[in-house]
Amino acid sequence: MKPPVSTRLYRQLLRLYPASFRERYGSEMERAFVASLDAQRAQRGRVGLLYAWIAVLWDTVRQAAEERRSGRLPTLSSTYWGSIAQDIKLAFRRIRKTPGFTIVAAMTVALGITVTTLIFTIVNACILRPLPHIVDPQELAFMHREFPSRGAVRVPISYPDFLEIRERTTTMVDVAAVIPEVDFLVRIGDDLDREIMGAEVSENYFRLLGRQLVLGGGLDPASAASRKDHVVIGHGLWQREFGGDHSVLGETMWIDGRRYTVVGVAPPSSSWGMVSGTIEAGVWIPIKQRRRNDDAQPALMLVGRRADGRTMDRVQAEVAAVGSRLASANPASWQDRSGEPARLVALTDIQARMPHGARTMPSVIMYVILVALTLSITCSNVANLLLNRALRRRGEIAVCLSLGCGRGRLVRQHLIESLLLFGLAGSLSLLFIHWQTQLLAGGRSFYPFAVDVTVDPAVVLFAAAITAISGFVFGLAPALQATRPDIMGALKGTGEAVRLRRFGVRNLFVLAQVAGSTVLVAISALMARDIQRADQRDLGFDAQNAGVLSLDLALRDYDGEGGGTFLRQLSERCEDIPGVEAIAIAGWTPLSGSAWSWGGIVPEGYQVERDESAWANWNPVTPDYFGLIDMPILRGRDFTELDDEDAPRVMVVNQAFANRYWPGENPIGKTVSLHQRAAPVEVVGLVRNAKYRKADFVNERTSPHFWLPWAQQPSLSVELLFKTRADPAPLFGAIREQVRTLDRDLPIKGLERIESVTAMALLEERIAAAGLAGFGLTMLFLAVLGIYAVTGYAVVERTRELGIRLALGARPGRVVKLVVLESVGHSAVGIVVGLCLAAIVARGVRALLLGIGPLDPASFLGSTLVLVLAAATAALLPAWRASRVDPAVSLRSE
Amino acid sequence: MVKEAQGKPLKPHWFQILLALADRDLHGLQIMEEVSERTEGAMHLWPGMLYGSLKAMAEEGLVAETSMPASEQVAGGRPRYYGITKHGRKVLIDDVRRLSNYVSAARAKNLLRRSDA
Repeated sequence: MKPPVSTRLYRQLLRLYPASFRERYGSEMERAFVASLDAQRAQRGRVGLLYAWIAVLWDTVRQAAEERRSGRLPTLSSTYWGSIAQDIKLAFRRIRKTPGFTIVAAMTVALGITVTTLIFTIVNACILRPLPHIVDPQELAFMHREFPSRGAVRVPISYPDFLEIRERTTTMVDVAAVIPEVDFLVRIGDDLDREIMGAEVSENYFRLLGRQLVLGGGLDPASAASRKDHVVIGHGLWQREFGGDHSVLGETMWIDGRRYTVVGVAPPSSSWGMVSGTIEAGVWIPIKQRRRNDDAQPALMLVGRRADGRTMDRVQAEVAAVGSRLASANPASWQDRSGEPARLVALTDIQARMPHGARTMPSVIMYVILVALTLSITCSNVANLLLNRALRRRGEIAVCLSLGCGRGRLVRQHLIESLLLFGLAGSLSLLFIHWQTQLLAGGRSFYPFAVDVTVDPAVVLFAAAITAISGFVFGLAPALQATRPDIMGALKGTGEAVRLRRFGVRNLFVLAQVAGSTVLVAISALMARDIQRADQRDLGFDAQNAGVLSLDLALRDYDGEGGGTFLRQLSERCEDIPGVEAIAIAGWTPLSGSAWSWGGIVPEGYQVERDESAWANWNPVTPDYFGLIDMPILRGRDFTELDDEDAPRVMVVNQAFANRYWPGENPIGKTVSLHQRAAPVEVVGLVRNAKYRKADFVNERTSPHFWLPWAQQPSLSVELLFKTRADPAPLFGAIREQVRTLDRDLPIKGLERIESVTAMALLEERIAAAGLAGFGLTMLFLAVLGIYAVTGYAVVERTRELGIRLALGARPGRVVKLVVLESVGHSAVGIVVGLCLAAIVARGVRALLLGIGPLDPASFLGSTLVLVLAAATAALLPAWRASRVDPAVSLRSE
Repeated sequence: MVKEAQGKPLKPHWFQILLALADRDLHGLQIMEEVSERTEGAMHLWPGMLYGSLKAMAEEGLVAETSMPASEQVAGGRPRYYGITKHGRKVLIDDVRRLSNYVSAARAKNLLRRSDA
């Protein structure tokens, strides 16, 4: 017969009691319960029943807790979870007892996890997370052209083709265009002009994306009518420049010398429009008129929104068809040099955000390899440390095993310890990543990231998974090895006398690390010395107390004549500024990063080979240029005011030019033909070699260079150089004032000391060297840790031998020396291999070096010394431990 | 073992259990009923409290499990019988004395008339 519901319920309640109690008293308690219930019901009816239930519930909870509490120790440890709780407690105690070990191990693992998770955080922000502020991004189709032979390189589309595509496609509601990553010269109020990255977009762009603006409307043709001078500004710019003021709508600003009215503010973290932008756009303006007419230089990327019920496949098919029609109608702009026609391609938002192209893919692969390497190196070093420690406890482990403790239990104990350690590292790395992302966010004003890199649940989950997996994998191996049931040997203290095998797997791994860090340290030392040498090099010109003003007259539609007049007036006005000593005009400034070159020149008497392109750098300059920048004229003469457009064409060349095209001859009086039809140009002067481009640092191989008189070859891109009595910076205001007086709306591209411009020339090299050095030092730290772990292991293995040595009278100092020397000896193999590899790598990166030989002895010797010292330091602690072995103890264990 | 006995008064339900067992051995349900009746329902020993106390009192040596008396007939399963130990009886008597001392004191102060006792 089935018991009544109340009894069955009470049976469930009884489960709260410890099993032993329940087994002993359960059935009697059930009867007592039934009797109590009956008694209460008889006495007070339903109220009694209710009272009885409440009382029984309270009685059960209170008493069960009491029973569990009183019987906790024997009860819990006899269950599975109880023993795990015990293991966790033990692991905590061990971790607390060795704070030094814990900190080093946790920091090391945290390094690996941080690097891995940081990369994931960025991938998560760029690719995995849905696009912010865009309605139904999965409905979008992103279009560009591709040449099948050039892989996934995204080739832009011209404006006329955009109009055609927009007209002809039926699978999409609408198509918008964007020219991404345009550098604009923006002036707000009376402020300086600054380069701000933005985009030119078609008027329907914001409406098509459904991007909700924070303020105002988009560039909607309906509201803008025919106006082309509306601008939507980025959230960051709005905050920085307008203090987040809501009255910004209607404000005016100058972009590339034109006046624009602010009609909207974009939400934060809006990239320049397409999906893969990492920079927050500052401004969005309608596509400029000159782009609309320009069929020769396509710059547009397209984005369309799928019509209802149209699949991506149909869109792709239609887009391909439209593309092939356009290609056959307009072969000139749709074929590359080999005659291969481009295809029109449509991608989904996810596809569009995937890394692509020849430039991105290798770096993505490199990052994946780097991440995997870092994680495995850090984790396996810590695994070695764990093993080391476990081996030192081998006696204790052997006792446990012989007393009947299962090996599984011991492995579990070690595993829990390593998981705990890795968990600590994982939490640390989340903290690091949080800081990193804050740093990125803080750097927004410097580099406006559009990507919202934040720690979200996906990141935490990823970090937890990586932590758990690596903790398990790298914790299991040492746990298994340390608990090998070699009980008798270990008890007697004669555990297999493994001498440190010179090329054991563990050892090889550490050797690889030593070799790797040797390569990095050596190469970064090489680059650092290279830059140092380059810094000391004579530039060949003197940029002290000189400034440069950069202008682009084309932005204000000056023609040659108007530009000439403007520049003459500007020069005169600037010369009148107190403190300015001389003024000169040039097309570009040496070492500023830009350099003009002229191909297909024909120097007199020089036999141009069939495959050879005779070329040289060139620069149009005014007469005072050489004097101002202090490039001495060695022969002939400087330009004069007489070398104007009506005078015979003349040029000045540098030594490199003369040596290349007329070796051993006097260049003065020789001619160079620049155009096939124009008259040859006569060389009237020879100037000393200087550094004009970064390439000129390489092996002192200065490029050939010629200068033309400004009057004979004027340019709309202008650098106005001015020599001052003292520091030019205080005069910048006055110079700017003169430009404004002549043309209020002309943007100023730059106004700097020439020294600041040239200092930037080697910036990339400096960053590369610093990055490499940082990475090299990290590797070195890991290698030191690896050496430490392996040496420690070797010392544990040799405790008896070292004890005997000490007992026989060896001084502790000798033992330290022995261990350190042996460890350095082992590392030496890695160092030598690393140096050989570094020599190969150095030859590979020779192109990056500015003059130092790839096998620079000082760099290599220096890094060898650093590595040897590091190896010795790493072995010092285990060696000291070895010297403290008590001979009596180690002999007694014999 | 005997901390409950010295000076410290017995817990009320322990006192009642010992009192119930003072003249004969009983099983749990009987103890519950006896206490309920004697206190006229003022004290009901709910199952958890009853068996928890019996277990603790056995550990303290106040009660002990005994064999089932031949006279008893119980339907469905054999319950455990409990009897008071020598030590338990001493602790009970001590506590009764303590209480009766209080009663005498109260009487001396004329708090109680003869008929109340």
